Amino acid sequence: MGIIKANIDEDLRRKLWEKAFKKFGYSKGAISLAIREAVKRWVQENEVNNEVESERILNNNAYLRLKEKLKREYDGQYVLIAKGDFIAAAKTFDEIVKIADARVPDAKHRLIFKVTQEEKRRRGRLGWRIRRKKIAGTT
Amino acid sequence: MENSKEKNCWNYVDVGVRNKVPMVRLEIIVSGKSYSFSFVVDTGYDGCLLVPYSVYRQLGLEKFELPKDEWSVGETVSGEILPLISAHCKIKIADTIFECIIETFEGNNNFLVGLDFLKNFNAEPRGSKQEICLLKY
Repeated sequence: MGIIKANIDEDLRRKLWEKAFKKFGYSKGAISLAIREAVKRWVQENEVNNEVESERILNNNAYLRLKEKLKREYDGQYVLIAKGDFIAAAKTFDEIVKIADARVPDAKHRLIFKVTQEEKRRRGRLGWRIRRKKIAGTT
Repeated sequence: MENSKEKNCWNYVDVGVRNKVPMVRLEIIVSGKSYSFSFVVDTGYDGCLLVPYSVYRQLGLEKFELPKDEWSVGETVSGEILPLISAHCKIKIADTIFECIIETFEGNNNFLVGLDFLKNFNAEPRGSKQEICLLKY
């Protein structure tokens, strides 16, 4: 067992104390148990994130490699790329999802998209231009 | 929610800004399971659906993702340019199911439906009744 020293803000510390005592009881080890659980979850989450990110890179590289071929041969169809390779094409979204679930159920990341000749990338606006909060003096 | 064959209405909701905002409730269908969320109707957003990054991850939408090459970029109110992680998905609103692109970016906490979503309906914000109605055509 190792010891970790860290600074957290007062509000978070109070919440941690409150939740830890509620879950593990008013004992000496309650905070340690809560922190151990939180750190374990954080580490697991990051491991999954890394797996997703590495598969995302792999699949996008495969897409770039296959892009022209897909446009030539599968125009108008839904295509599945997973584990760095072309897996299948289908006429509908439902069909390609079924194929994906059957053939690459363990993939952490998959590309599923409709092949079209047109350029889809665009620049869009994101949400309200002005968001006014209620403060004193406003109606 | 008032529900008829043609028209579905939802009451405006107080989200802590100066006026109540129009919101609709819809379901995101992932691998046969439905997940229901309320979305702010925002004509300032020109995509279909924007979800918080945490929701995107929880629903496993990275398994239905579009190639990075096809992600749009979004411009925030402060002028920041962000790549919008995008996934293909099915959504259900009242009795209507259709395909839609769901977008997110790291740090996003908003649920929005935008112009791409609204183009499927005749949308009627009824200010006097504080409700929004969607009519499928």
